[in-house]
This record gives sequence, structure tokens and C-alpha cells, in this order.
Amino acid sequence: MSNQPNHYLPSFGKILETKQENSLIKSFLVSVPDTMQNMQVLPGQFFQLSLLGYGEIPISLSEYNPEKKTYLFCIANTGAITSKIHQLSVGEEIGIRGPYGNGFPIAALKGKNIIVVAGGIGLVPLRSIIHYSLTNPGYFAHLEILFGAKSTSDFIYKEEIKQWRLKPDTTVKVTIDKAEKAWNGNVGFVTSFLQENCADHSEILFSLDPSFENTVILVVGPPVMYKNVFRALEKIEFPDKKVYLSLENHMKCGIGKCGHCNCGEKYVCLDGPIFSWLEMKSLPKEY
Amino acid sequence: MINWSKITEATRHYLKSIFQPGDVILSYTESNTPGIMTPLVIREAEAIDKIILNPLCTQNLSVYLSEFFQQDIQSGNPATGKWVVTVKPCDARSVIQMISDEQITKDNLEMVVFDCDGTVTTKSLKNLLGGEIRSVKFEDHQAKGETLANKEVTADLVGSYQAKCSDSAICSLPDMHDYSFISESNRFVFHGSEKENTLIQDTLSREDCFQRISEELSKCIRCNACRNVCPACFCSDRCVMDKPKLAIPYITKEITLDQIFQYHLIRFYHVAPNCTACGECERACPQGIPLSIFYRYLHRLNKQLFGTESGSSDSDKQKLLSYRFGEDLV
Amino acid sequence: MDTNRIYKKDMNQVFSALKKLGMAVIGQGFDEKQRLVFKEVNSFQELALQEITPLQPVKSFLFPPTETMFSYQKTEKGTRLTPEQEAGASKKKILFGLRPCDVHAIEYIQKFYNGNFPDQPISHYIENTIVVGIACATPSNACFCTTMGISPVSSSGADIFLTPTDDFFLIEFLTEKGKSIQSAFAASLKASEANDGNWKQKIEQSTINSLLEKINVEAIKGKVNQAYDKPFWKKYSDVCIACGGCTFDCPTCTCFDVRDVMESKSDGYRYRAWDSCSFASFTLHASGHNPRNTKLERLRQRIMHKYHYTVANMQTWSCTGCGRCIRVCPVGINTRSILKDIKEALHE
Repeated sequence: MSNQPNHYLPSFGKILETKQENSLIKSFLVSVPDTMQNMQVLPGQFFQLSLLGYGEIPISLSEYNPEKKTYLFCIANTGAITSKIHQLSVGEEIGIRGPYGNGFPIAALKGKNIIVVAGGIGLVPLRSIIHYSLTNPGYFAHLEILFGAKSTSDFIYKEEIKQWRLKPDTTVKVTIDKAEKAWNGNVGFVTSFLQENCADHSEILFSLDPSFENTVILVVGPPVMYKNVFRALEKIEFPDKKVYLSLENHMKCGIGKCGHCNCGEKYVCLDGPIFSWLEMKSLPKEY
Repeated sequence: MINWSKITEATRHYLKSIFQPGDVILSYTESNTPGIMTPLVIREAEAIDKIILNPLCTQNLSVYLSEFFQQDIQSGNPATGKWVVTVKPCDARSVIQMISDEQITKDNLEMVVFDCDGTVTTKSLKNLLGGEIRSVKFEDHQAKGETLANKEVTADLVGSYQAKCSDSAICSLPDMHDYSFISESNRFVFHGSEKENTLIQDTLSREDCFQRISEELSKCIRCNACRNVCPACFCSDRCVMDKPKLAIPYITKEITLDQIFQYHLIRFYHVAPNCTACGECERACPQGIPLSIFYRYLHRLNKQLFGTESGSSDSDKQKLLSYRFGEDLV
Repeated sequence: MDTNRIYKKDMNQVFSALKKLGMAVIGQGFDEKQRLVFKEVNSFQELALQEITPLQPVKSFLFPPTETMFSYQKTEKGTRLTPEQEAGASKKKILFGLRPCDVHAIEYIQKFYNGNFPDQPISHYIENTIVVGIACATPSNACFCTTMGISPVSSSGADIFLTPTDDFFLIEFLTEKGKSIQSAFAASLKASEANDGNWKQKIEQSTINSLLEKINVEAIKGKVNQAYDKPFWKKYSDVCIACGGCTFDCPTCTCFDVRDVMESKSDGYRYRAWDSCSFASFTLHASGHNPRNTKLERLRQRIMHKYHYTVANMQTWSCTGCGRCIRVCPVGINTRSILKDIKEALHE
């Protein structure tokens, strides 16, 4: 029994590239450690990243490239550990444990129209499903990316968004909260795309699949955005079991042992972080 | 000798006479665990009759005051009436000290002190009565219990009271005018006997004392119960020992002797000015560490070195917590 | 299953034989301050099996209150990790004389830590531990094992099981692990006698008569979450002081915190420590948001977790009725009362 693997020991990857996406978020391209070479990673899963001496944090995977053997992590500078991670440079090592979590229900999404609704930093984990669509053309019937940022200086993945617009069966709609001088695009919250009266409303919801039969919505964003999205979807009576979201939570071990992410009968690190809106409703009100 | 049923009756009577709707009373009642009382929060006059006072009323109810006051402030919904707290003389000192430390205010607070000639912990009671009990009653100085095997046992409480009960520095009324004192004689009398007041620091050399202290503290499992039960520890959720230690990497939660010492030393120094040696830390400790040895010593040192006693005055500041320009260095 | 007698006067022989096998024997006894604790013993006389079970939980032998997980060194060639564990993990030990409540707790802990991603450090402790259970003849006034479906004479989960009488124990070797140390007992085993089969029943009856009550919790199994919004919680959370004693002394509470320590620019270690959902910091996010901001939510979480969430996930209560939470609570909160309040709220 003691030749069991010890799941608490991180492996190490090297930082190959870094890129400042916006003032808060920095991307890190990290080499996949040898011990993790053949691990399957589902979009929506997360890894526990260690900065030894400081601590460990859960970070969703943005992209996994098995040929190049790289992971892409996009980390927001919001706390003590993340601010130290932002100071790391190319060549330095970072501890990695994972992949953990359930990921998006890929098998159930085959052939469906996927609407990705991203609020600000929510685009980070959703990028993994967009990447899946790009590397598995035709897997989804259609991919619609709705991205809302506070302002133009909060945009992330600007180059990638340009590329996504060019892909077949893919539409991208972008909006910012308040009007800006040099901005000719949409203004308003990302939920406006889900409203029928909006000029640039969601194509899939209101043209391509108005019965919602073949459509699934994936939402990630700050808690206040979830409230607004649910309200908008309730108005058009979109079925709750076809909406998936990613729940952020305080985590320590990432493997369902320490109890910190336990909410109701679920552990966010085991049964999540991807939950359907229907499942969310059964979680205790504290969440 | 206290007649506890009379004290209970008199306290209930007094509370009924002052209670107004909107008030909240903090007192004691029987719990469902034989051998321990439980605090009672009363919001309706009918519940006042549930109050029971007896030698098992060990809890220091002042610990709830700062928390409830903070909730009042935080919720923006202040209690509509007054807070009334029934306390033993030793715990009254904790309330007074909290007022001096500006954790609670005198406005909207009424303190009702009830006469007491000694309290006994659940552990001491079980030892006295020879084991596990189904129920216990008190008459004069005697505890009458029924064992699990349905046998009746009686024992005298004198000599088994908590150590603080024989320390006149702890068992004494604070210097405050506006509170009520419930007692048959209407005046406070110290019931203990001072001779039980030696601490290990009085009898051992410095080296032996340090050795003894290390042995006692080595049992600590860093559960924080001593801190959480302490009315003088009012940092509550913002305690320095809890916050992520990126800035202070030498404080950890580990049970190595150096970390245990660090935790307890920090607590000793932080509460030295305002600890009233109520002994709750020792009673709450799941490992049975005799913590009151340290806190009673600090309480005594406070008087010896600075001439002040915590819990005496609600307006004077403790020397260790205040500084006035030009005052003599201690 | 063979049952033998082993006389108490012969137990020291057994203890010496166990020592020769390289095993440490741990059981309940009094320390130098007359506190009842679990401790390593060298002779049978040091045990105090006639007392109630110690307040200290037995989980500290499978998972110490704090434990280093690994140490690290940052070198030019990369980071070097050295997994670490207390010396006690490899020590072969016998937990001698655990009541069915505590044996059941070890079974639960094993099941919990082995699920999903097995906890290798704890498995290491468990594989070096042999559990000798004992039928419980001396409950405390807080005990409620029968409420939780555990009989005070149940041998389930034990490697070896003892039934105590005045002069001897009845002994059963139940598992391979138990049989692996049978040689230490062999010389002292005596044949059991005709009516020896009655002892267990006698003890069970006497202990059940001593318990203050038995609550029918089967009636609320699977439904406890329906009491989530009921008003009775405030009664308890008003007086709870969040000391954490109930969680630290509970033999089935498994939560822990993970922290890093930097000893120098290049060296340091990671450790884990028992944590409590009663503490405000347990669910505190880095952003400052705390989903369980009030004592009521935290107290309710503890009860919901023990009596509902683990039932939903693992089909078992994570409570063995050992009563430690009731014994340690400085303000007299009684878990049995909470269960009764839940029943009343659900009209069961």
C-alpha cells in the first residue's frame, strides 16, 4: 500500500513564455512535467499550482498542447500567492498537481450548438473549450463566443479572438460595460446578447436554434454576472440542465480530502468545478 | 454559604422587574449534558423562569458581549433594548475590563452580579461523585448525583472549587457603581481561603519552572479553544495566528514545541493587561493543560509591577495598553 | 471463529512478546497528571480499560495534529522534493482496547481517506496499525453509539476483539492482520468454557441500560437537509463560542489545512494541520468573501456534513456516537439535542 502514489507531491514544469494579457491577468506557458506526459486533460479541469514557500492555488487550464507538451495557465493577480507568481520569469519552475475536477461534459456536448458566455476573467477556463473546438473541428455544430469585459483595457486574448472569428461555424461577439471614445463595438453587459431585443443578440438562441433543443450554454464569470445571466435565461425559459458554469471556491488539497471546498453534498474539486445550473440550485444557499 | 435556589429566585424576580420587550438577557440554564450548565439567551419575559444558577455556572458570559455588540454594529440593526448579563463577581471583572478596552459600551448594558461561593468544573464534579452521572442537584454545599447505574451519591463541594475561587484578587467585585448585586446579605463577602494560592512560579527555580511549563504546554494540539473562549482575546476572526503567513513565515500551526511556545507566549503578552484570570481557557482545553497557572501569574504580576488590576475600573486604562506623554517609565 | 480465554494475569507475557515482535502497544491509561489519555504502555497494569474512553481522539495515531508533507530545495538543476513523514508512521503499533465507537471511527477514516485520490501518508500509518477492539462495559453519560447504529459489543472493523470479564478476556482473531500477531498470545490462550458465549450479551445489556437515551435517527436518515432553514439552529449558535473542540476531539472529523513554510530563499517545507469548519477562516476566500460568514452557518454545516452529506456520498453517518463532542463542549451544547430538534422539525 505504501507504494501508492502520493497525490500531495507536486511535479515541476518550467515557465517557457509569459505574456501580460491585461493589467490583472498574465499568461504562463509551462512545460508539461515528464510524470504528467500522458495524462488526459478535459476542458474545464484545473491544476493546483505551487509556488513553494508561499502556497498552492487552483488554476483552470486554458490550453493543453500534447504535441508541444505545454500547459497554458492564465493567472489573475488577486492575492498574496498570485502576486508572487506574477513575478516569476521564464526559466523558473512552478509546482503542478493535477488535472483535477470534472471538466465540461464533453461527451454530452457532441454535435450541439455551444454558447460560451464569458464575463471578464471567465474567458480563461472557457478558452479550454474553445481550444477543444479548434482542435476537433466539427465536434460541435456551432460555437458562439459571447465575451464581456469592463473596458477595452480589460480585454484578454486579443490575438486569439481575431483567430477565433475566422474559424468556420464560430461567431464571436464582444462588449464592454461603458462606452469609450475609440470603441465602435457593442456596449453593455454580456447578458444583453441573451436578450431578444438586443440588436446583436445571440444567433444560436434566437436564429439558429430558437427551440433551444440542440443548444448548451457554458457560463463563467463573477458571481454578480451569474445572477444576471440566470435572470435573462429564466425570462426566455432556457432549461436549467443545459446551462453549465464553473464555481470558484477556496481550495487546499484539490482532491476531496481537506474539506475546504465542500458545499452541500458536493466537493468543488471532485464534483466540480463545472456544475449545471440545475445542480447549483440544489446547493446550500450559502453558495 | 450560598443558597442557590434563593439566589436563582431573587435573580429571576429582579430580571422580571427590569425586562422590557426588545431587551436581551444572557444567563444560565440546565443543559442536556449532566454536569454542565449552558448559557441562555432570553428575548421574551416568559423565558426568564428557565434561568437556573448553581455551582456549575462556570461559563464566563462576558465573552458573548463583544461578539453580540459587534453583530449589532455590523448588521446595522442595533438591539432595540438593552443587553442584560447575569455574572458571577469574577466574570463581572471581565465585563468591566471590556468596557475599559472599549470593546463594549456602558450604554444599553445592565450588569446583574449574583452572589457565588464557588464553582466547580464538570471534571471535578465527576471525580467527586465517583464517575459518570445521570443527573445532579445541589443543596447547600453538597452535590447529589445519580450514577449511570442508578445509584445515589452525595459529596461535599468544599475543597473542589476552581482554583480561582480561593484567590481574593480574582473573586472580588469591580469598582463600578451602576450594577445590581443579588445576594441574601446584600453585601459581597469573599468565601474562599487564600492559602491555596501558590503557583508553580512561587515554588520552582527558573530552570525547573521552564521545564515544567514546557512539559505542560507540550500537550497542546493548537486547537485554539483557549483563545476562542477568552473574553480578553477580542481580535476574534482577525487573530495574527490565523492569517496566511506569507509576511510572517515563522508563525505556523505546527505542534513542535517552539511553535507551541510561540503561540502561548503571544497570547500571554497580548492578554496580560486585560486578562481577569477567569480560568475558562483551562476549562475549555481539550488536552487538560492547566493554563490558569500562567494567567493567574500574569494577573498577579500586573498588580505587582504596575499597581493595576484588570477588571477593577471601567474607565482607567491598563498601564500596558496606554501611554501618556511625560509619564514616568515603569 | 475460535474464541479463547486469556487471563489478565498473563497479559504481561503477551505484552513482552508483542514488544519482541517490534510492536508498540498503545492504549488508554493515566498520564503523570492523572489525565486519561491514549499512550504507549509497557505493561498491562499501565492500562486503565475500566475507565470511559479518553477525550483524546484515536485519529491522532493515524493522522497527527500537524504533519510535514514534504521538504523542498531549490537548486540550479531544479526543485528537489523530499516526501516526509513522522517517524511514527512507520512504527508498527497496536491500538489496544478501542471501543466499537472508536474502531468504527477508524473504519470510517480509512474509507474516507481511501476514496477518490487515496491519501498515501495516512495509508502508511494504517498499514502499520493493528486494531484490538474491546467490548464497552463503561460508557460515559455522553455516549450514544446505539443511536448511530453501533452496538457496544460490535467487533466489526477490529483485527482482534476482546470481551472483558473480571479475570479474563475472551479473545477472537478476526483478520489476517490480527492473526499475524497471534503468536504473541499463543502461550497464554486458554480454552473458552461453556457459557462464555453469554458474556457479550451481558455487557451489551448492561451498557445499553447505562446509556441516557437512544434516539431513532433512522427516521431522519437522508432527510436531515430538510431541517436546513428551521429556527432551532439559533438556540445553539447563540451560545457556541466556535472553540473548535468538537472537531478536534471528534474521531471522524477529517478536515485539514495546508501551509507552506519558507526557511530560506531556497529551502522550506509544506505541512498539514487539523482544521475545523467551525473556524471563520475555513471558508474565507482570498477576496475577503466568506460563504459561511456566521456561526449559525458553520454550526449547521458541521451537523449537515456529519449527518447528511456523508450519508449521501458514502452511505454512512460520519458519527459513531462516542460523545466526545458533548464531553468537550465548554458551553454544554449537546449533539443529541440537535438530533432531537431535527427530528421534531421534520415531525419524525
